[in-house]
Amino acid sequence: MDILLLVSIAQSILAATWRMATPLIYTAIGEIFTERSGVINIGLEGIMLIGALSGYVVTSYTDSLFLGISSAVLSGIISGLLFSLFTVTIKANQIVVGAAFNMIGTGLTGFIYRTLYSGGSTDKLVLDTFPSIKIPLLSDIPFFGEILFQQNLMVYATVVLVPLAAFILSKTAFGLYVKAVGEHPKAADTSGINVTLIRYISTTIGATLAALGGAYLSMAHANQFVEGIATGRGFIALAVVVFGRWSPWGAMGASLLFGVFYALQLRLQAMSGNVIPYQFLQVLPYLATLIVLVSLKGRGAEPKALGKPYKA
Amino acid sequence: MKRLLTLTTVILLVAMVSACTPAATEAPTDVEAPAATEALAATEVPAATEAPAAEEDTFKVGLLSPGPVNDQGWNQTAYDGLVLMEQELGAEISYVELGESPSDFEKAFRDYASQGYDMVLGHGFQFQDSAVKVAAEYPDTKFFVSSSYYYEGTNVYGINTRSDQAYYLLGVIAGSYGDKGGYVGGVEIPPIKEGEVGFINGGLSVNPNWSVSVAYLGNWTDVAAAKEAALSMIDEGATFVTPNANIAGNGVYQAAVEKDVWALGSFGDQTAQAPENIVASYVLNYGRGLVNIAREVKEGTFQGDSNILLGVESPDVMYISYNEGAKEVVSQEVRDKVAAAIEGLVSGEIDAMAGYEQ
Repeated sequence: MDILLLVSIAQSILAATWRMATPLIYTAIGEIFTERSGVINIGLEGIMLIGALSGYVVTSYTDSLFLGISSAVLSGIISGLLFSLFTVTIKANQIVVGAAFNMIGTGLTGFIYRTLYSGGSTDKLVLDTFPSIKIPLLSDIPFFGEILFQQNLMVYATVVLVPLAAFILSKTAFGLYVKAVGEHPKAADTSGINVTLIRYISTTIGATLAALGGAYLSMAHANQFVEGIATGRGFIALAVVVFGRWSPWGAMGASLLFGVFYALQLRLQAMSGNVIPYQFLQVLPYLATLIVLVSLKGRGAEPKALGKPYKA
Repeated sequence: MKRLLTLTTVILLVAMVSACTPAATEAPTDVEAPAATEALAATEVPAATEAPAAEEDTFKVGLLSPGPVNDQGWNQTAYDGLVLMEQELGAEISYVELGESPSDFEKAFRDYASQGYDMVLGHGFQFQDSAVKVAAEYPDTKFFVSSSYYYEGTNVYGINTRSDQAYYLLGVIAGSYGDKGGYVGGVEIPPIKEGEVGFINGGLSVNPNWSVSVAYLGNWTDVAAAKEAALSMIDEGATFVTPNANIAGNGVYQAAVEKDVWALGSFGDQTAQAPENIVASYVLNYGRGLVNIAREVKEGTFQGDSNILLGVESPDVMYISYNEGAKEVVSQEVRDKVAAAIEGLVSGEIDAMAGYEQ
């Protein structure tokens, strides 16, 4: 196989990598905030679906991507507040509430989607998505141009999101509070930090970013909502948080790693003369992430109070 | 503070619920969407409870649906057929939505059969065993099972569709214009694999250089992965892409639009998904196929000596719909080739599954 062909294949795989990693980055970064504050939200899949649907519905009725994104954010805030109400205030078991969110998210979005769109005209079904923005000059750079500088706004936003999240967590007072509450809520409480408030805020940030991750799928990658569109990404994001050791940069790395192998396996399937069974190729992203996790030995960074409701 | 937060959340919750409500009422309920309550009631008693003075020779058809009949998808195909039977054949119809418990299946079959229903359809392969079990006790009722090849000389008939034929025809169109196609499947199960084989054979029948790039998603919902798969194929040189992955397949049309190549629609007229790039779709009117069967049963012309395969021999059930508004409209010459292929498939001269061992 000649070099030029290989380069072009690598180029399209890498461009796909970032697109496939984006929803994971959003959702995982959000979950890092949630978990760092000591709350575990396994309802990400459901919240992604809720975000995907609300963004899609509002965009399809108003033709405004801005309003669509805003409504996805709003749906994330509502989900986050609800989740906090049950887990922080009422102190219900976080895993159970998370599981409930997954079921509600799947059922509710399916129900609303069918109610609004069944039997109606189909012309409304397809959205004009975020267009890919070619950054002048940079997008003409050979090889890297297409990978890095011809994506859409929501993909570019991850470049801001990750350092911002890292900065907030490590350099701001709020970040310190979040970590304190997640490590030792009693001590944090004694020193005057409002544990409940911090957990509410962190959980809501988490849910909002998960909703955005979902909205990316229905508004910026695909151009429509389909039932179950998240297809397990909410659960993969949960794993990404652990693989990334609760650090935004780590989560980004894990998401990209997952993305590159996902893009690679699709490409391998599509290549002519592929004889490897597709079931094996589909395992690749999971296998690769697992291997990296095992080989990257290091201290665990799991928040000590993770999953434990705080009783003052 | 805590109380305040609780209050705020409750208010938000109420706001959310009330925000949903008007939307629900605005919904296009004219889609013969049967009220949910009605369906629930039916679960308990699928019997035609409201049936006035059961006349002996009323033609009665029952449907066992694995899910909501207004799902715009698989379940609705059967329900639409049921409604057509009522309109065109004056059949008395009834349906029941069932969960996943086989004991319910059996009860539902028995309920219908014991009330003298002429025809009962279990809409999905999962109903086959229950149908077989109950059918032996009710020889006067004909039992049909969707997605099944079952026929053992009894009154249970499997119904299947020839997706290999449909994709063969799409292959004929694509092969007439290009050398490489892309086929995005959901999960590699027999009907999807058959489509792949048909697509390859159809293209080869008109173009010796034809090849197909194939990828499977492993699910039926990941529209984003379907799009990326199609983009990879287009990158590999495919100029005609087609999905066979339920709703996830919609991502394939989107990829065709983005890269401006041609797409072929599956299972229905998909033109709205990509008005300029979809040159043709294969349409499967399953409901019409069911009505055709019901008509034969009603008129007593039903042969009932084999399982049923719905394919291109019924031009109202499976056909190709061309998009006259596409950037490039399929030429008459190619349409003639498709028509010839349909003839060949019907007569048996052409085997869409040639060279494939199951």
